[in-house]
Amino acid sequence: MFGGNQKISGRQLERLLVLDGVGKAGLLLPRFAGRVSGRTFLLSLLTAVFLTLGYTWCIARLSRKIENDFYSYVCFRLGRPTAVFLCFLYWMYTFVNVLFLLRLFAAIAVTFVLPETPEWILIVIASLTGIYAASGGLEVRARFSEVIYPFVVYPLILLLILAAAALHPEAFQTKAEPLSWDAACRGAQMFTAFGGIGLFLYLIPFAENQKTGERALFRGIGKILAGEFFLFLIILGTFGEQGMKALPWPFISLMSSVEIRGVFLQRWDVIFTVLLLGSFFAALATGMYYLGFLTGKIFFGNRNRKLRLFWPAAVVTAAACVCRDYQTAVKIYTLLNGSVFLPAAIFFTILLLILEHVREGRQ
Amino acid sequence: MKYLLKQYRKTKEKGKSSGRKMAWDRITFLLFMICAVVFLAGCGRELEEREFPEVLVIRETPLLEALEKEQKKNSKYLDYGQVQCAVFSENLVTDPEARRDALTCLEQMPVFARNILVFAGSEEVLEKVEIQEEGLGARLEGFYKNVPKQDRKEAVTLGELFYWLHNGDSEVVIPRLIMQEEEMVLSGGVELKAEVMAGNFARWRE
Amino acid sequence: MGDISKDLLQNQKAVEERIENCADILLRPLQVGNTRKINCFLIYIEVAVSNLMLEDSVIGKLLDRLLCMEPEQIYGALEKNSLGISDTKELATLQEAMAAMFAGNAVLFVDGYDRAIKIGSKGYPGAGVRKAESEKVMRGSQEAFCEAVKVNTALVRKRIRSTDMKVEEQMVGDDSKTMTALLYLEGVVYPPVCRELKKRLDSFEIDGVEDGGVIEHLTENGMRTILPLYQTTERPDRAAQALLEGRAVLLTDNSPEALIFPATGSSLFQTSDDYYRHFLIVSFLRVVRYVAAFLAVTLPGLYVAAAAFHTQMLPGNLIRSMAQARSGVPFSAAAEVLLMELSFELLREAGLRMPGPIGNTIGIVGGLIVGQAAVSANLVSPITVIVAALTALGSFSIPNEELSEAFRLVKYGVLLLCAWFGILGALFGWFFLLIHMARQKSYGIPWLFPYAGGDLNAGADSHDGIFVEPAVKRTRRPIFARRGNRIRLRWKR
Repeated sequence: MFGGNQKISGRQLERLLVLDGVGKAGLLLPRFAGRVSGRTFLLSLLTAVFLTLGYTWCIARLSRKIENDFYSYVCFRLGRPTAVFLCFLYWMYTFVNVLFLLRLFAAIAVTFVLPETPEWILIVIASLTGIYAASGGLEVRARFSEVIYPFVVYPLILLLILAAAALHPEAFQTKAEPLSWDAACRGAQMFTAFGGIGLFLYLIPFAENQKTGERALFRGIGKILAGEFFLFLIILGTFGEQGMKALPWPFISLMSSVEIRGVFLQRWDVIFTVLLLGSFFAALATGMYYLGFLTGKIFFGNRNRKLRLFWPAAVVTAAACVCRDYQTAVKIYTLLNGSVFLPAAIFFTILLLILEHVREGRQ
Repeated sequence: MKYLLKQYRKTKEKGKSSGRKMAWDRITFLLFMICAVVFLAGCGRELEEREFPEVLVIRETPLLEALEKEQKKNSKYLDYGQVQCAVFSENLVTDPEARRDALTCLEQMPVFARNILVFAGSEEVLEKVEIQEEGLGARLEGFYKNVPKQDRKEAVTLGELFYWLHNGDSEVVIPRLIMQEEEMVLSGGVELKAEVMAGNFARWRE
Repeated sequence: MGDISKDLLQNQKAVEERIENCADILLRPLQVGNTRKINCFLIYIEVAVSNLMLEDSVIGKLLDRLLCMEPEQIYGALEKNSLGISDTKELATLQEAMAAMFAGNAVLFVDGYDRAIKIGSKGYPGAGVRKAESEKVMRGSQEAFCEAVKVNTALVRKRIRSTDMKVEEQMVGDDSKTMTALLYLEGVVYPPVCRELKKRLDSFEIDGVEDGGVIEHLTENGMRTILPLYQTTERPDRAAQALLEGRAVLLTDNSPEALIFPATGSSLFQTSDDYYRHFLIVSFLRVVRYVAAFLAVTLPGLYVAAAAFHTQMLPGNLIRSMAQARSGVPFSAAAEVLLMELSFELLREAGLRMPGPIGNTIGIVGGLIVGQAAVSANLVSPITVIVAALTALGSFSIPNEELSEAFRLVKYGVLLLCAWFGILGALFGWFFLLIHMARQKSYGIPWLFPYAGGDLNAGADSHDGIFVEPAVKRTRRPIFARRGNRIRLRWKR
């Protein structure tokens, strides 16, 4: 960590993961509420939780086999063309993810914070912040995430605790429902929000050591999942199941109902919203970093560090500006990442795990 | 000789590129200063250009048009961020369609906090409220907040009304305001029965 | 300049050539030996070695002894220093002799002897040990460094009476020949840190170094940052604490400030008396300092954001009275705040440059003019004056002057961002600043340590970040110290 050795500690890794997921998942998941009941929604969420934990376990197991870096490992196991193809797959996933994050950031900022500011300006400045953080390398990103973590996450936890004091108990009194196929499918869709953990395979060589990295991975994912589950319990209890479906971003609407008596400020929703947007910067930095990293693997090798970061960042920023609106970005995200890139990435992960298992069996 | 030439070309290139870099730095700095000076006027709206109504009067729908009409009458920008209470017209509150439209519109406007207190009032009350006396919002809030705990009644907030609107599984009684000797007082309430609003998802502003 | 010759006339000619037109450098010919047969001369800087002292001091006593000796005995006595004079040294070359003279010593050349003798003297005139002015503390020593590197070294040695404290001298500056002293605790400091400093000092040639600040900015590895990568202090006890923590200290002649490195952002918020007082009080005061730093950077921007964008944040009564107070003010909120901040900067600079009582008056008059008259003339609103005053107080509360200055500059950037983007601008500003801080390192230690990486060193550094643990629990040195030598306190019971 201190020798410029590109190593990050377990705590830094955990905080990177949490900040990557907390904002995006909290704002994206209600989209999948659809026309189902609140209980079904929670069951779907639980399904997503199990799927995520399962995927995390696969990644953790596979990461034990990686000696140098994931790219070299895939080259060795499946050949260079497959390794490049996998990089390209993750590159596309990250590209769509960053585009979605930029659009989400702009949509929320314009709706709740700065109604008269053009979205493209907010997209550009968020992108610049992400690029600046990513250009410093992994250690800079890790330090930045480690420092902003208490300022972003702890107030949001406080928000949830305050909101929990004003729940409607009758919102939980719905009739029991079995887990249906529809709920399971929704759960698979919701899993898209957490699918980015596959990129951890490229990150594992930079952890202090493999064990620390694995523990940090589980802790980080566990915190996100627990946090999201708790969040949606509170949202359901505050707005009811129909109310939750009526709001595009119930997490943020929750903030305007919070009152902290005896404090100077009258309304806290703007502050909480801005802190939540803060988590987006960490997620954008992660996205930009991986875009640069994977571009290097595909095109530039280890040369031209700045160039391999700036051109994909410029392209994704332009794409976000050109993308019509937030709804279009969500459709692109759920369609491409949810139906194409993420399943393909999972397929390769499981394939590599099976190959390892077969190899161990032979040995 | 070849080596010297190579070194010379490298230095020349370095000089060129560092000169180019300096030029870019200067251009960026100049652009930034221009933006700073131009935008120092700020992109927001100054305080003295705003009016801060304390109470929102809702008597007709569509609500957006009503608010726009209100804005046109005023030379200053109406900033609804300080609204503490909303007074619905009794007619609107008892008309399911109009009520639904008004509440849906309010839900789409984040400027109105969900903890705004809600009242219903007659035309007389609405006319009095529309004058927007200073301290009116605090006075209406005081009907609940300044009363001793044992005498305190249940207030209805906008958030509770939204909950009722979407989930509709319980009754809500909106407190009613009446005029008594030129003063506004609380008297009874307007009962809203349980109602389920099927299939009504937010039509968020496009 | 070559070796010193046995021929005195040759030496004299070489020296006279060098000191031509230097009226402050004196060449005094002498004759020693009881028969006055051996010629010699003394060179010295007039004020650095007073004439009176020639008779009463080491030089005087040496010369007295030499005057009484047999000529044959003189060379032997000089060679073996059998006269027992302390602080003398033999010099082999003319360059060494000139350097010794410029360091404030007298140099004796003797005919027939191929060495010159450096005789220590009181040195250049300078301010003595004085009271700390810019780093005032409630408890602890009130001594401050002076401008002589030897005295400063002694002030630190007084606090660390161990031969483990090493002092390595190096001259910097071709013309100024400024003496620097690198202090460190052997076995505690991380050796690459000292090696790195020496490498950086050797990486440039400069004509003169007038203050430690020149060395600081020439050896900083990040010219694109305004954040200080060294910690400066005028207090010997702070320097001694730093050495015990495993850091190194660089003293520069003619500079009353020491450079401590590595430096982290957290160390810049610490004061020496933090470790002399109760941990709860210190923790509270540290929180106050961090809040002050936050206000110093963000308060003007937050005011603009609340007034121009997010009026719903503030209570209704306050907003209405602010709106009323602002009526008639011809500037936008952002321009108004900028005007106030620049006025305070003018006042601060004027008060700093004006001598003594006039400087104090500037503060009072300036406050009256800016505060009262500007408000009455409707140039600014009263709340803006309060915002500017609180911001100034915030920046004064930051213990480190360089960091305070850096934040004073950053505040304008945040103000501009808030004028464009409201409270989101404050977020952008702080995040840009934090990313910038995350990119900085001081001799390999991240500037954001221990807020980044604080779980290392058994979490000891996290317990000295914002909140301080009790003295009884402060058993470990910080991360600066060598691994294997991080325990500083052991209980016998």
